[in-house]
Amino acid sequence: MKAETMKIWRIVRTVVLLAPLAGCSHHVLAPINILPVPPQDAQWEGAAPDHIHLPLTAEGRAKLEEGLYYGLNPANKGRAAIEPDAKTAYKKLFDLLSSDATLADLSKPAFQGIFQGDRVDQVIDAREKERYKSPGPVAFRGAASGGRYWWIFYRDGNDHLTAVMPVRLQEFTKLVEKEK
Amino acid sequence: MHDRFLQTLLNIADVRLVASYTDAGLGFDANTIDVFLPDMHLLSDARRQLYQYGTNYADTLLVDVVGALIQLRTDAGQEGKTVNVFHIGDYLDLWRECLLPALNPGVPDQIKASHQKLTSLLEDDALNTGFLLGNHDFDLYQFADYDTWERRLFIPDGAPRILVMHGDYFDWIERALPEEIRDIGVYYFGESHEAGDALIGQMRDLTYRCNHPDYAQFIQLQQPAVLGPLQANDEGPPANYNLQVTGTAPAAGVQFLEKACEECVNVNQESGSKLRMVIIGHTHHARIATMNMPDGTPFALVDIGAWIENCTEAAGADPIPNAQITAISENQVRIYQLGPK
Repeated sequence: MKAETMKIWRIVRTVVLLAPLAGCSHHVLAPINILPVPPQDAQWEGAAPDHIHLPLTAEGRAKLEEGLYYGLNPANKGRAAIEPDAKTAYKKLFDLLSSDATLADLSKPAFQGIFQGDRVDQVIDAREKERYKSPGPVAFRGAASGGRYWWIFYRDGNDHLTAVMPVRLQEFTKLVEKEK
Repeated sequence: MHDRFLQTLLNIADVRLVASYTDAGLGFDANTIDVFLPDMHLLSDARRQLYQYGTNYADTLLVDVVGALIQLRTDAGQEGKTVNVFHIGDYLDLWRECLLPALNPGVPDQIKASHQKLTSLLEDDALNTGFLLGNHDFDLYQFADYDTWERRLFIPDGAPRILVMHGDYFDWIERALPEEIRDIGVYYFGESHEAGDALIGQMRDLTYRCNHPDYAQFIQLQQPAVLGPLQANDEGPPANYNLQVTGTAPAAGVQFLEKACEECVNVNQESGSKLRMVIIGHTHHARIATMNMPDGTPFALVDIGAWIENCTEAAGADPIPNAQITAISENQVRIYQLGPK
């Protein structure tokens, strides 16, 4: 057991040294410019695309609030709330999306603080039978969720936003190991 | 549903009551029962040999319990009743399996290969178990199969009154600076917050800092947890039994109570939430501790125990392998200690 204990302490020292690299979320990343729509337990639409239309109607808003209440995981319905006051957390975004908007509008001051600045221009949705016709959807990382949720916006040929889908993703860009 | 759940347990186990607590404000009717499974700390057979203790399977009892829950949930569902099952963390023990942050997605399967029957039942769609991450399986969050597992949740659905979390947060409070904890506390107790990558990173750092390098002899309990007298089932559980109160209970019985209550009081005042109970695992010490909030609202900290390490009815008495299960229905919480029939 003593040899095992010595091994454990050596490992602990190594972990301590590596911890500053492992613990900080702003580690060096190799960005991947494709966002895959996650499986059903991380988006509210289900097995087939069923986007919420924009501008947001009362019905669409209620669907979004419900999905976010359950953490975008349908298995939580009837079981537990993940964000019971999602209505408050996302009020500003939903109010803004209740009016007609273009993709360019998402970068304007009115939307300041809504997104974290990360944007992905290629979205892959395995549920779709064909690739998107140009212009394809664009995804923005949401600030209200601490970056855990991405908002995928669909648009028409005039860049008007036509639909939205929030998805829940862990950090999907690939960690680059630094030389020690 | 309490009676039905109790009968389900009595069919397969010796059942004794650890504690019970009734609060009309919890928001649970008689048609729903929420069942909570505590820390199991599963390890691969190979790693298990390095430790003085292991998961208390109690022969086949643990597997039988989970199997019975599936049947209960199925039968109750056909009658329009609801059985929700939660495992609130430290299900797999990645920390003791690897002794390093687990970066290999094969590690969970490596552990489960030694517990196929149990894990396949617990993760069966028919049970729809809601899993939380603990401190020993925190690293699961980074693997695709587990990335929807939460760190906390609120129940009952529709009118949350109870926060369910693993409980290691309270260790962090004791060991970390307030600034390090502030955002984490806002996430845990706030009903309009999610945990993004930066916060996950902070929690991961604290988890690594608080986990010990050597768990050879014990994880939480150097001595068996003293639960107090366990009530046999023949009389039927009373509304309130064996509640731990500051001033009369030993320190271990009210550990984290005041802090948990304070956090709920603060968040209720700031955001209008109505939290009045916190459910945790982590300590491996089953108990229900109670106090009143400043406005007189009753508050309880429910610690659902474990299926690892030991408990006892009194200091110096014979140790009993921890094997607890907790249920809430009809505004009453019960913690049971199980044994082979």
